[in-house]
Amino acid sequence: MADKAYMKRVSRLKKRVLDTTPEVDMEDAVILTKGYIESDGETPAVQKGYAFWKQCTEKSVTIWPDELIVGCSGSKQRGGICSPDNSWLWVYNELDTIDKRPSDPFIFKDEDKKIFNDVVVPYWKGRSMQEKWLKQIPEETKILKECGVLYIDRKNVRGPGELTADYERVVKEGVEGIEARIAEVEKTLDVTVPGDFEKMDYLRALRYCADGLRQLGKRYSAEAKRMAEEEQDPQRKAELLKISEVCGRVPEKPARTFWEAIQSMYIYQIAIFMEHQSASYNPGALDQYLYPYYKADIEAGRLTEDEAQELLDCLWVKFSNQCIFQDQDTAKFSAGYPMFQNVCCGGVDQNGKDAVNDLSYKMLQATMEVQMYQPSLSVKYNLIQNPDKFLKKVVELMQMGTGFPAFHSDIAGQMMVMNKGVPLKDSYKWNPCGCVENTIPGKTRNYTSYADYNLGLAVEFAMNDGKSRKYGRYAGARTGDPRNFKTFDQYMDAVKTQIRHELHGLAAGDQVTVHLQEEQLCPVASLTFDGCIEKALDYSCGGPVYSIGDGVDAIGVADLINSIQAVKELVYDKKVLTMDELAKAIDADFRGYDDILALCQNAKKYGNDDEEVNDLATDMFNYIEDYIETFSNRFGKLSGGILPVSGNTPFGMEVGALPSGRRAWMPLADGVSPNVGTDTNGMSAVIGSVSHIPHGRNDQGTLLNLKLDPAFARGEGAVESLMAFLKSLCAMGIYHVQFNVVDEEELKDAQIHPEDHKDLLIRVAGYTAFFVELSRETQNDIISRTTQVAI
Amino acid sequence: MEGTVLRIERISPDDGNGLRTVIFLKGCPLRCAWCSTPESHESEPEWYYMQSKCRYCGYCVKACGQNALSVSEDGSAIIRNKEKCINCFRCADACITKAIDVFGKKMTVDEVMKEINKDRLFYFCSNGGITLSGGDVLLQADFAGELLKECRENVINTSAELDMFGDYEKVKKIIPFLNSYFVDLKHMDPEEHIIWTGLSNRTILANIIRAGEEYPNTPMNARVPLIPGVNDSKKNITATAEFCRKVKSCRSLEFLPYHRLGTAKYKYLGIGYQFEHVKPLSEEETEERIRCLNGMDLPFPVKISGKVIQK
Repeated sequence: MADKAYMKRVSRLKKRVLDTTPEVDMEDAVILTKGYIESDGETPAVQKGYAFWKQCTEKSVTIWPDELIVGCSGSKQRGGICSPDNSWLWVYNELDTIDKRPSDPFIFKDEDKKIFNDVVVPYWKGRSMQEKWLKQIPEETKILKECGVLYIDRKNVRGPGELTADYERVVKEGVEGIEARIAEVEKTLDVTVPGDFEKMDYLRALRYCADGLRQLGKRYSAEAKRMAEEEQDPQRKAELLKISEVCGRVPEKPARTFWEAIQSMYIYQIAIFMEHQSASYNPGALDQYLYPYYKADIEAGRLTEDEAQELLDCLWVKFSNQCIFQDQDTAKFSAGYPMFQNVCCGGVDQNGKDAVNDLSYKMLQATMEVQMYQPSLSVKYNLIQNPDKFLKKVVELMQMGTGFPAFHSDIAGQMMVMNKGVPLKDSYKWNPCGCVENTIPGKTRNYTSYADYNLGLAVEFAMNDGKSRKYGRYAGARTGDPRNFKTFDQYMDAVKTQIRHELHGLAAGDQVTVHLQEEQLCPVASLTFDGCIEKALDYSCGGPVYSIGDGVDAIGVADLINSIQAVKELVYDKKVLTMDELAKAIDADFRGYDDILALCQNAKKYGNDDEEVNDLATDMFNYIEDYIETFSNRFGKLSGGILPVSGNTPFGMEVGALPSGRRAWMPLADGVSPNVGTDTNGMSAVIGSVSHIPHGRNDQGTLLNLKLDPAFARGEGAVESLMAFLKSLCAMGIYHVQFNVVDEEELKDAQIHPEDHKDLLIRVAGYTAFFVELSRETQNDIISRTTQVAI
Repeated sequence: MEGTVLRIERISPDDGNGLRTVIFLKGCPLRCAWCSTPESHESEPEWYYMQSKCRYCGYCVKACGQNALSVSEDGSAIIRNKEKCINCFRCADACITKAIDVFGKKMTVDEVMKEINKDRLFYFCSNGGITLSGGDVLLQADFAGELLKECRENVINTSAELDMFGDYEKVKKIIPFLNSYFVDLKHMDPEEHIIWTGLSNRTILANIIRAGEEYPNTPMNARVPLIPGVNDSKKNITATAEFCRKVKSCRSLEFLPYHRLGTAKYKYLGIGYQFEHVKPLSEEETEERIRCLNGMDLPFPVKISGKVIQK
């Protein structure tokens, strides 16, 4: 692939991103604020719509050298833009540490700080989502949050994210088509009918947004034309004129070519991000909705295969243009500037039949060639429908060791979205969302990852009468002195009580967030959700056809299972320890209790396909899911997921020693993976255990990290072996896996000589980041993940 | 029925078609000098000690009812008096860190089947199955036969790695339940075979020929562990190929270069390893050694570690 002529352009585009240090970009925030000042007195919907329109008409429209696909949410490459209507407070509080913090630092220039303080802060003080949250958070939730039991700020410090708009609608119908839909609904409304004023008002906001998109395209077109006039190089001049032509057409009108389709989709992508800076706006199944344009171009001879690949590669680099700008706590929980723009290929069409096409392969090829941390490339592999040729290409990409693609079982994904209430026909269209969640483009309202809860602390609280070792506060339920638990069932009851206590506090917080989000509208994304225009109701208010409750993510799955197992085995079954001895050893973080530590560490562990431990995992996670499903918010039932992003490290820092033999403050297990170093029977035993977690019921997604057994990474027959392994994993009902094939030596060297490993990509947990940009703790966690080699 | 199983390795990609569960049976009449699994030699479960894991807590010494264990004078190791030890393995139960543990355990056919069935989806997705290995499978022919029969009833593909030493009646208990099998050809010269393995190859070779006659449709794949200075001469390699030509069921001849991955286990068992100094052959050296087979017009492919070199 190095010999392909277009790779020179791709390398230059890529180098510019790699050489750029992320920097705070205040342009959007300033225009937004001015837009709100100008429109003060209008309804919240119109204010938001107008301010977005103003951003589109006033923001800088920069086209960088070599670009074919253009557009940027802010004014800078790798800029961190700020949405002060969501939150300005954290920026204000962290003003002097943003450039120094260990996770995801940003350059923050003095002039930008000044604009922020002079223009942004005075208007937004008292008006942002975060401030309202901090005032309204329920007391029980607050204590749990402060003691590291819950990470629940994500949705309260930034926009919604975790959604897949219907990009196809923009590409196919253009802004004009969307405006026609709005006009249809407007015709049915009468301002004297109660309720219609609100609808007309909301549609007015949508019209501002639609026109904003149009203006954005026109302005890039004008800028390209201006640059073309000054350009000396004839080749670049022609490219700029082409860009001008493409942006003159889209997104205003329906795309006619592959280039126009990509550009139209990408302008909508940056617009959604401008509206609310947040992670996980997912372009989804590009191989499905871009294919008609690709096919028509190829058949008409307008486009060569290489030209198509080049456009796709340029888009891939573009996805790395933005950086998520979030507070230091959230950055710890998802480190590596992750945008979580998840794109996927494979799976099935609207009739449930094989949907793999030439573009599916080209998407895999783009990731092979570009090797950047975005987009997050996912594969939906359908065991029944998709061809082996496709799986082979997927395996070859895995063996390259970039951490991509995230591998998903299509059928498990369908089951998850159906469990959320989506009918079978629409379930075929699901796409991976953010980390490893799932969503239906243009149809579902759902915070797939509303908050995380700490299972390590549930174990700690059961051993410590609800008291946090770190903070000395009673954050958990008062379940009493563990020495009084005469039977294993009594111990188990205490653990379950603690889990219920955590989840209750989480569900309480969710009610407040849902209520606050109703004031945090997202009309730009709502333009393409089925139901939002028709009902004249925003995404955040439940406009989409499938309104679904929120996702609740467990962290510390293996810690929970292994701790319960150790207590059962050592204290109640074999009786080699008393609860008193165990409690004392844990109080002391096992210092001076080497024998007890060794006993705990040698108890049976999750990840070795042991029947007793497997059954425990099944029972616990069905119990937890049953309890979560007793809660609803106004959109529907809550449901579980198991995806830590990188939250297992900061959550671990809140948890003292555990009966599993894990020492205090160490990272918890990630996702559904075993605890580090405790899986000693190879990859098949790991997935044997993992298959005992009820994946379909944890319908927000489950995440499995595996380091690849070298026998499956290289050598004779490795491709076929890994293909068979992945098919088996799908057959076992497991939802997701991602492999790490980078060796430990390389990672250690990258810690010592980061400058030599600037482009070392690493799968963190559901996403890929540059290793050298991760915090030391996260780096260490990755290094210590066990290498799966059968003894 | 009960057998002695050394261990069960899951989803091995290198022991036959597809992904396979390899069941290593314990006990072997041969003592090949280069053996990489010395823990398979003895027929009964076997005590071993990994000094690196030992914390010298003395729990094992206390647990021993025979006074067979003691801490060495310098306090740096646990010493076992083999005369006194009755292999009750109470010490292994007492050991917290598993520094003392046991190679092998008694398992019933049902217990092994339960482990095998955990991997059935891997077999389905890879055209895999199970492979019996050793030790020596024939030494536990009744158990192996029962196990293989049970696999076939469960429609699980079966294979085995056979040394073929022993009474032919034992062979007959096994091969009818195999979809295919491997045989190990260590040396073609009977005297050399005695020197390096402790036993003559006459019975082995006769059994292989006869099995080829009686089960011509059960594919046999010959394997040669290629040991520098032992069996890598041109003479032995061509003789091996000529022998295979005579076996009606032979479908391939594969050379597996000697490796040293088993060395550590000799230490755990407290026995010496005479091949420590032998350097494994490189890929090129291996190819060079078997170049003598060029032009022999063999009716089956020749492989090195799974890779087809001829045909």
